[in-house]
Amino acid sequence: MPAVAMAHRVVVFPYWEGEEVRVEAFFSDGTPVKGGVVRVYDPAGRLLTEGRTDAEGTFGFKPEGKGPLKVVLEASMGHKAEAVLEPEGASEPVQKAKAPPEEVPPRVDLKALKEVVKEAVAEEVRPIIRELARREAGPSFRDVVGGIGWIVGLMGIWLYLKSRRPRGG
Amino acid sequence: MHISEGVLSAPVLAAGAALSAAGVALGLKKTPYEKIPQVGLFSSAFFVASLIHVPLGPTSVHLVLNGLVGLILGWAAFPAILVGLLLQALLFQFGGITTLGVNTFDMAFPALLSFWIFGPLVRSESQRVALLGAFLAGALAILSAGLLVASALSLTGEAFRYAAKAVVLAHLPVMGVEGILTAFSVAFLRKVRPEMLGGSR
Repeated sequence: MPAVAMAHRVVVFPYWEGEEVRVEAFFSDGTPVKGGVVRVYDPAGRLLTEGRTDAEGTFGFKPEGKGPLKVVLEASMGHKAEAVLEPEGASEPVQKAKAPPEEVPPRVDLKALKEVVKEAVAEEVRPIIRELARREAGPSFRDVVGGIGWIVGLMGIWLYLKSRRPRGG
Repeated sequence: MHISEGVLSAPVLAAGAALSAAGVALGLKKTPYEKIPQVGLFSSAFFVASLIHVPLGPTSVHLVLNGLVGLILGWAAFPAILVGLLLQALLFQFGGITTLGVNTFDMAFPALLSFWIFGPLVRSESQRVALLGAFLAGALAILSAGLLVASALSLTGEAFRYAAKAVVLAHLPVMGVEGILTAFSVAFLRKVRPEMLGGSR
């Protein structure tokens, strides 16, 4: 990654936080989108909720069901992005996990265990996912070099095409 | 300055594409053989400029360099900017493919304006006039691109005054930076390659 900070694309990143949904919005250089309009739709395309991001570029709401939800962000000046939030283990209360008494041969409730593990992993992984989303947003050094290569190549083709005709004609 | 996919209505997209296609065709036709490498050079500069973020003002903005591109390339600014924007859309996901026409016109038409209005000043005998012309070319190309973006948005619902205010306010720092950059570039070119400022009518 080159040292210069980068812009100009918006990224919207929704994720579950318990039963609530948190939406983060930032430009591709990492600056938060302040006051961006967030609209949330259900799969049928009905508008569920609407709001603006705060100074940190985040917006939270509590959906009725578990989704999937389509989150659309509109920043000013024609920037727009959308993301689909899949229904994640929307934090079902995990009481069963505590169940097995000591004496009984360990009959682990696999389903409950799975839930617990899933939740724990999701919590650990969340910052990594966020970091990834942030990195995805900006172009890589390879993209920049590749683009310049393309321009030089197109220029070569143009020169070739023009060179076959009499000059100045 | 890059309008994303799904923001504008179909007629606006079509109009932008038609205007840009005409500009690109004219630009390709009017560019003499010897000038093609310059078009490539300034297309690359435009392509990379969008990565240079200007950390001032209310929102995230970057350099555009359309004033400088216009001063040097004239009509050839259209193909140069089209290619730059296409690659930005494909590689960086800036803007979009459907909005390519509108975005090209929004940035290339001000480039052409700065060539028509400030080109003669930049070639003037007096260094002071040339530098002032270059500064204004850089700054006003951003301003008019911002106004064109606002008009495109207003044709699809967003109130013009609100959109224009947002875009222009956000780009005030960029106007200053680009004015100065353009003036420096012109001063440099006047010294080492004055023929580059000739342009193609």
